[in-house]
Amino acid sequence: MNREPIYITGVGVATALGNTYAALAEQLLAGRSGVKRIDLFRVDDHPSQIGAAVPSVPCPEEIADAGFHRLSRVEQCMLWSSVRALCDAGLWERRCDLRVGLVLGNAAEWNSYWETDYLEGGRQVFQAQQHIEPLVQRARRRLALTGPAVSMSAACASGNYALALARRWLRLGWVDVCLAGACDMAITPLTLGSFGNLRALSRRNDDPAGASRPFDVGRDGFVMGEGGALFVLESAASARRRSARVYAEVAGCGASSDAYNMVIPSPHPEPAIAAMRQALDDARVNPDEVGYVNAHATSTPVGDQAEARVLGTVFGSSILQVPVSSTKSMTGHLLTAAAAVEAVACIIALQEQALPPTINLDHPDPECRLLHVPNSTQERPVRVTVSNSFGFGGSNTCLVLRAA
Amino acid sequence: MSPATPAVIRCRIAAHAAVRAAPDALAQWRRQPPPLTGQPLPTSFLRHSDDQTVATVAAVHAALVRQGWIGHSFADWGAIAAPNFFGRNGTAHSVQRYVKEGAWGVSPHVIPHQSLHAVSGTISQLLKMHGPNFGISGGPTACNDAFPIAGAMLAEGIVSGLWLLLSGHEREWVPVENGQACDDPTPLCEAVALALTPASEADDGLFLRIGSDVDRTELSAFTLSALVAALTAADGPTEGAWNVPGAGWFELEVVAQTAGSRR
Repeated sequence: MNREPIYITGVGVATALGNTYAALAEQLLAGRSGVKRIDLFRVDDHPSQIGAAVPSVPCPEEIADAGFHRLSRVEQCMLWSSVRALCDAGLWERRCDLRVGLVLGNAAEWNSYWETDYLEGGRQVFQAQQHIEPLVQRARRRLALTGPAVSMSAACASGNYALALARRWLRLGWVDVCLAGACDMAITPLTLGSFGNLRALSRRNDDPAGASRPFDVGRDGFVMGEGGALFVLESAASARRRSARVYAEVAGCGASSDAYNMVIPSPHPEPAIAAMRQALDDARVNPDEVGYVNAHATSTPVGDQAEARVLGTVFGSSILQVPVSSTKSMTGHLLTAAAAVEAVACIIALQEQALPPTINLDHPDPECRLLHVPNSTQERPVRVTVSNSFGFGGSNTCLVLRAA
Repeated sequence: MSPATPAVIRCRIAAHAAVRAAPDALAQWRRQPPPLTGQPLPTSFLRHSDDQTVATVAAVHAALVRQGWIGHSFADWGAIAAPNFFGRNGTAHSVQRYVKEGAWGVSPHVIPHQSLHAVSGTISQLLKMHGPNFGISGGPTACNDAFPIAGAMLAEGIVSGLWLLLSGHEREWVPVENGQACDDPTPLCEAVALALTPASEADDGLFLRIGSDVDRTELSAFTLSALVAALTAADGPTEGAWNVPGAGWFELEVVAQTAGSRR
């Protein structure tokens, strides 16, 4: 397969911190938290009662539709983010002239749909569903896309896998342009309850904005978030031909599996290290060229330490020269959409030459000896970013973005 | 935009198996999981797994046995799984229990065993595969999405082999609401395990050709049952070509050993 550079030329987002790239950038660089007490449903009997929920998703004016807000929340997120990304890339009006593909990271389209329906008095889970078109095929039809469209999930690693797959399709010539990213509107009773009963979530219910505190000694679990990000990817040649604005190059992708346990994090860091090294090798980047790491760090006691060890091994003696932050401190953990939204955070770092912080980092864990970006943004030249996403169940991915 | 000619990916099906399992077979495998590595698995290993995970473990085991691969290393392989309507029974059970019992009634096993990546993750764990693993779609036509994904991964050469795992039911399986009678026999659970490796022109055997054109309506629309039938034909696997709506097309190709040509 050729190694033609692939660029990101459009971004669309929906998050608790805003539904535009500009709004998300402003909030992340201001160090603001999107975490609040959940008001989407009653949470009194949940062990964790907080999250970074998306209050609402606007209907894109390009597909003005009175029924938009009757769609599932994840479909709203996906359509909004896709349309915004295509418009941002200047390709909305031209999309029918191109083979535009779609790769969506999404884990729970059907289970969330059945859950929501049942709790609203429906019985869809007990009725025939075979005739219902999957989300990506509905989107493909609705957005008039003519390339292949698929959805996939590797838990938290999904967004990185989606970007890697889109890059492959472009290099194979299967698409001219590809929408790729992930959406997850996962703050639902069953998901909140299941993670809560797994004791994976923070129970800092009296201090929502302070609950997601990656790398801090006081961390007690992750905080759920929701939202999504879709990107437009195209070849460098294509972007140059039409003088497209370029956000970043998708320079390197790496992936591995722990093959250890579906729940318990592996005590063996080698697969995660391998994923990072694979991504850096793919990008032809030495570790000392990395200007910023967006860590997976979810604010769990075990996971953050494990990642610090992985980073220490990959970066070796230069570990204390590479700034590391976890934007989950502000966005919460968007599960399937985490990697995609964190890729946006990396793009923000490249575009603004400023590193978003880890907020709530009052007392850094001595077992997480890293060059943190604590509590406020740091202006710093950066040309190469690394984003780790280590999925629940042991799926490790790493994405390297480079200024184009 | 680029006028590049879309590549057609050809890969070898180095091992394969298909299972069609009734509930009692699934229950038996759940109690005594098929030993993928040759060593017995803990009897609780598949206790909370979805039926499609159980059937897929059995399909992979059958493929390994047929190929003589028990004990083989798959350390640098990956696994991708496309289960149809995955986790439906678990969701039905969980949501009813939530309404009755509240948050404390939600099982912590929902996340690891009903998530879309549970099938690929389970196989990856059992065979100790450190390549990529993820789930695909989870909807009524989940298997459709698998082919353009598998083809692209093999074309890039990021894994030396890839387990492509497809599963579903012979017809839509609809859970029964608590307390209501079910008068419809449970459809068979189907699972196909394909061990894919890069192909060379000198190879013979069974191959997949995968392409991205989404408009090949002259081909039959893909169904999992059709693939199961093609793979398990009495005289050996038979060729076929299918359109996967919205995701491309693929072809099952048989190359005979003696003539090196397709039969």
